Amino acid sequence: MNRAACLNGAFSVVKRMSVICPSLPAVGVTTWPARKLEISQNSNNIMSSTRCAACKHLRRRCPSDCIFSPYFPSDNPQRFAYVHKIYGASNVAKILQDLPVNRQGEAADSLYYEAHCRIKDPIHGSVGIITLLHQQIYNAQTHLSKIQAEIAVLSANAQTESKYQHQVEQMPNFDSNLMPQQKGVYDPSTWLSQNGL
Amino acid sequence: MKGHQEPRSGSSCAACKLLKRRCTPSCQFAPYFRSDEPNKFAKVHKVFGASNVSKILNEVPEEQREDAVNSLVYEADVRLKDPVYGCIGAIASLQKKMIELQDDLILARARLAYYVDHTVSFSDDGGINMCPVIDMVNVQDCFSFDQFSQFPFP
Repeated sequence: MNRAACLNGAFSVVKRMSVICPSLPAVGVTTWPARKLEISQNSNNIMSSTRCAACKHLRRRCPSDCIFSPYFPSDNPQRFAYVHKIYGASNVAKILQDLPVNRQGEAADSLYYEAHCRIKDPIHGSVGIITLLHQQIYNAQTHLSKIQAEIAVLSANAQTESKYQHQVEQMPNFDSNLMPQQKGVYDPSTWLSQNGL
Repeated sequence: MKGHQEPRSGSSCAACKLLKRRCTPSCQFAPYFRSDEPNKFAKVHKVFGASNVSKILNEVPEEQREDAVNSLVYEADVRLKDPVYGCIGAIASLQKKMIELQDDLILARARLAYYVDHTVSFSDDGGINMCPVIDMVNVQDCFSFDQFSQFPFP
C-alpha cells in the first residue's frame, strides 16, 4: 500500500472500504512545487507576490526562502492555524529545518493531522486513535483465534468421520443395524469450553 | 518596590527547573512533571513548547489533565523518534495490520462456512450431532469507530 493510501487509511473508518490511491511523485521528488516569485519594482529585496498562510498569520513579510511557504499555501489558512496553535511556529520551523527537503512536505502533513487530532480531542489527541486501534486489533485477533479453533475441531471431526466411513465400507458382510452407535470422539462445544474459548 | 510574590515551592518541578524560573505552589506543571523526571518535560517542551502545553492543559478539566499530559509526552516522544511522521506513522502501521486481520477473518469465516456445509450430521437417537453451535462473528462488529470520514491526504 503506498504512502498516501496508508495515511488516508489511518483516517478512514476502520472497516473494509476502498482507500483513495492518488498518484504521487516517486520518492525523492519534491511533492510540493516551488513557488514563482515576482520581483517588486520598488524594492531591491525579492518579495513573494503573495504571502504564505504562515506569514499572513504571523503578520510578517514572506521571504523568498520562507520555510513555511511550500507547505502552508495562502489558500488554506486553517492548516497553519492548527499547527501554530498546537506546536507554535518556531517549533514547526525547527522540525522542518532539521529534515531533508524531500521529507519536509510529509512532515508538514503529519504535523497538521496531529494538530487536527489534538484540537478535536484535547485530552488524547492522536494517541486516542492509537489506543482504539490497539483495542480493535486485540478484538479481531481474539475472534480470529476462536474461528480458527472451530475450524480445527470441525476439520478433526471430518477426518474422523471419513476414517470411520472407510473402515465400515471395508468390512465384509457388514450389517449396520447390528453395530452399536458410536459416540463421536470430539465434542466441539466441550472442547471449546475446556480450552477457554 | 517589588510587588507581592508567591511563596517559593520546596523544590522546583522539572518544568520550572528547565525554564529556570521560580516554582510556586500553584505551578500548573508541578503535579505532572516531577523534578525526578526531567526528560519528560524536556521532550514535551521541545516539541510543543511550554506555553502551548499550558494552553492545552487549561482547556482540559483538571481531573483529565494527567491523561492529557501522558498523551502529550507520548506524542512528543514518538515525534522525536520519527520527525517525519510522528504518531501518524504508528497509526498507519496499525491500520495496515487491521486490514490484514480483516482479510484473515474473511478467509477464516469462508473456511468455517465450508466445514459447516460439509460436516455430516446424525439425527438418530444416540447419535451425534457433529455440527457445533457456531458463533458467526460479524466482522463489522469488530471495527466500529469513525474518527475521520474524509481522506485529507492529497
